[in-house]
Amino acid sequence: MAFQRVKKYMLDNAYTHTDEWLKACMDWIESTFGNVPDEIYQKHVYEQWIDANLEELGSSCLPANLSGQKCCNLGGKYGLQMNSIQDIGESAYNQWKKIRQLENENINVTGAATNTDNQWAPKPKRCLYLTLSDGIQLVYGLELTPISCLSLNLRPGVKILFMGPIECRRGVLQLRPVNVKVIGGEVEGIFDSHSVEAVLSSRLNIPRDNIDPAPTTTQ
Amino acid sequence: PHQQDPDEGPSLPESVDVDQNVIMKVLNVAEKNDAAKRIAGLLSSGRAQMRNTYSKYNKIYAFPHNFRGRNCEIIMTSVSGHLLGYDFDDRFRKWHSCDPVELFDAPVVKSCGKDFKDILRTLEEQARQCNVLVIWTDCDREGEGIGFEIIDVCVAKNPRLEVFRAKFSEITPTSINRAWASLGPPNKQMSDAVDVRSELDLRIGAAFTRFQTLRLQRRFPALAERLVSYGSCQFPTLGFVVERYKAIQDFVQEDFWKIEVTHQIDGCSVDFNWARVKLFNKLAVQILYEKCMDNPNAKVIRVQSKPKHKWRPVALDTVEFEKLASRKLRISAKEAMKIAEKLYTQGIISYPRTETNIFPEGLDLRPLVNEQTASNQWGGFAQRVVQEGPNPRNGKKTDQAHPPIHPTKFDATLQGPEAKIYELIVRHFLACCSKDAEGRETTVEIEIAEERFVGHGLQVLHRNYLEVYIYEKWTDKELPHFQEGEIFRPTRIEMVESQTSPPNLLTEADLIALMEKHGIGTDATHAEHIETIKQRMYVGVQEGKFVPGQLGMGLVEGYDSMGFEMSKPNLRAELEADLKGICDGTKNPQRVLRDQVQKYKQVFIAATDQVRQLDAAVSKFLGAAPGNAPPPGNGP
Ligand SMILES: [Mg+2]
Repeated sequence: MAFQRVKKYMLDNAYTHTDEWLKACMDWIESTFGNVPDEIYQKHVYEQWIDANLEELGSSCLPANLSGQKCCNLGGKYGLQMNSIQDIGESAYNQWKKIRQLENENINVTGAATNTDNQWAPKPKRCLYLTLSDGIQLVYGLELTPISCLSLNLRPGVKILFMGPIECRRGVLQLRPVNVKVIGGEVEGIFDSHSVEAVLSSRLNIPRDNIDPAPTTTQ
Repeated sequence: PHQQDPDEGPSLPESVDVDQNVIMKVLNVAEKNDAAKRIAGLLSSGRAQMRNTYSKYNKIYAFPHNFRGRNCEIIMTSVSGHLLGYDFDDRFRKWHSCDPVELFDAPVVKSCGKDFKDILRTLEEQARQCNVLVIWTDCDREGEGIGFEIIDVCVAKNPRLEVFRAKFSEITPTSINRAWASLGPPNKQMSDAVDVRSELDLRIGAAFTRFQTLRLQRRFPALAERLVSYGSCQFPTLGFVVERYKAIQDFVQEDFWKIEVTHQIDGCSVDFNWARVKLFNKLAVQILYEKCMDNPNAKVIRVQSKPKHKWRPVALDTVEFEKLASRKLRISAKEAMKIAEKLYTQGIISYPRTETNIFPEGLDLRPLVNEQTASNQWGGFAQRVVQEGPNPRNGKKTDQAHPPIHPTKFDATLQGPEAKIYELIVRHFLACCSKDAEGRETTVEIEIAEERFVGHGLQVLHRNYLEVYIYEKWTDKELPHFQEGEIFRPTRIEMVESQTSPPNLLTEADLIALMEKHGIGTDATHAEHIETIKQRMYVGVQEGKFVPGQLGMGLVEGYDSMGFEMSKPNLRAELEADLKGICDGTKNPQRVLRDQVQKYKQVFIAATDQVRQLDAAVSKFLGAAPGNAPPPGNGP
């Protein structure tokens, strides 16, 4: 039966979903395209899935109550939805000013001598922090070492595959490059509420109503 | 002192008919009486006779001296800065005589103010009796402008006067005799730039000052007696102060967390800095901290030891001098320049207005350093510099006119602030001519549960320039011995919460740095513009930091709300660039004048159209209506 075979395809790829959703999705494919070969089902189901809002599906794949556990290890694969992404290595205010083009380099002008005495000291670096959902449970992803496929340009709702072993503490997944693969997609309904600027504004308690959209920058 | 070789004198133009029987008279004019006195003293080897003139403060110093191989009578006198100034002609001079917008096109005249009439009379009288005029004003843009004012006045009375310019950077025997031996033509381009600058300052300043003063005096009883001046340098300078103040007000504070590691061993303590520095998320830091605490052993990943230099200071230019005086001595830029000019006039230091921080090849530094060996404070250090040979650390800037600021002779008689300024210049000079400090820096990188931390130690090996340069510190930081691969348990691992802090209010040094960066004013005028906004009470100074006053805030906000860049540096910076162009001969002075008048006139017209915005902004800060928002700071 096609449903079982497509479901296996979804599970093999860790595309987190519910049976009801998969069934409804396949019904829609059948009513639109007729009875099609498995690959066509798979193609259409995949396309629907990456743009679906898992939180509306109510799917789940993660072990229960991760945030309640001080430390555990996740094996296996998890296809999760990234709700939002932020850089916690730099102050939200600086990042917000950059986005709103309010930066003013005069702030950095000083009449003091240039000091080379503390060149040895570590400099702040990017550290990405992701809010993730399997549909029911919210967890976080922390960029432990630089991961090149992640960036602040990822769209809210993008689906990302997480591959164990991953150490998870208090619901925070500690991520390295081998643990992460961006699948794609987005969730249109959460663009505005979960954009990088929205996340920064809420961190800063800056009300977002009455504010014009930020000037667009070339990215 | 150096005796003038007659062959070195300026060559005689063949067309001039010299009557061998009449003794030739050479009129020399310096920028100030002090300078005239010293220059005359040096040229005459102290034999100059002093006489009074019409002006109480300006004397004549007369002496015989060799000029073009002939014995001549030398008359040395002075002005007191600018002799002539621009003003509107009578019909426009009174405040209510015209609509201020007319001031952009109203005729202006260049004339001698009543304070300087006595000087003018002396010059005219002397010019009639002399054959040659030599200009000895300061060798900078303003000095060139003053020089042409003297020339105009003198040549008007005696069209046959031959005119020369003396070029010098310090009032010392060598320098003055060299200038005398190599007289050249005055620089008309520089003088043109000064004329353009003066006329623009007059038109722009008068139009805006009358406009905003009359308007605001009428609306705000608190301003009824007050002059609300505008200047195209003043306002951007004020703008920087307001901008910083607002940046502090707008600042949003945030919490951040970090992991601190300390290790104590053998009575020595070392702090390790987290490689991530800090993170703005508590949970993230908490789990990394718990990870460390689950296995709190540190493994030494790398121990690195390498030579570390601390650079000696770069040769001193004016801007750097003003910043240093303000930062290290708490002497304002204005005061510092006043003192420096006095020291220059006394022949103790070189000309203090210079953009150059490269010592020219031809300048022999050894005798200058040698002078300082007489000091009982830094004499020993100077002695060593002499022995090792002065090796100045140069920067990259040169104005092709003056060398970096340096002492020209040793002086132990100075007192108070003058002594402090002199000491700063000498110590800076000696430090610049000596060697960088040398040390050895060690860094230790450790890992706890995959988190990296860096410890740091410093051993100062040779203090070198730091021995004389008391304004900088470099101290040993002891670091216990660590070996790569070694595992130890740090004494303390802690998660610490902290907050971001707003930027600082501007210091005078910061303000000068901003003016320099944006080309507001020149190195010669930074200090004056800062002084003006203080005097106008647009800004106040609290513990050495600049805070805008209510009126200053209101004015800047008013013009900002009209959408003009009046308080931004762009307009004035373009003007300064044009003036430089006139000096270089790449810009036509009339053209610059016309363009700049047009630019500012347009802004002026637009500003008068939107004057209500100015009222609104000022009333916000002056509290014209009761129950207004509290004013910012405790301004003046
Ligand atoms: Mg001068």
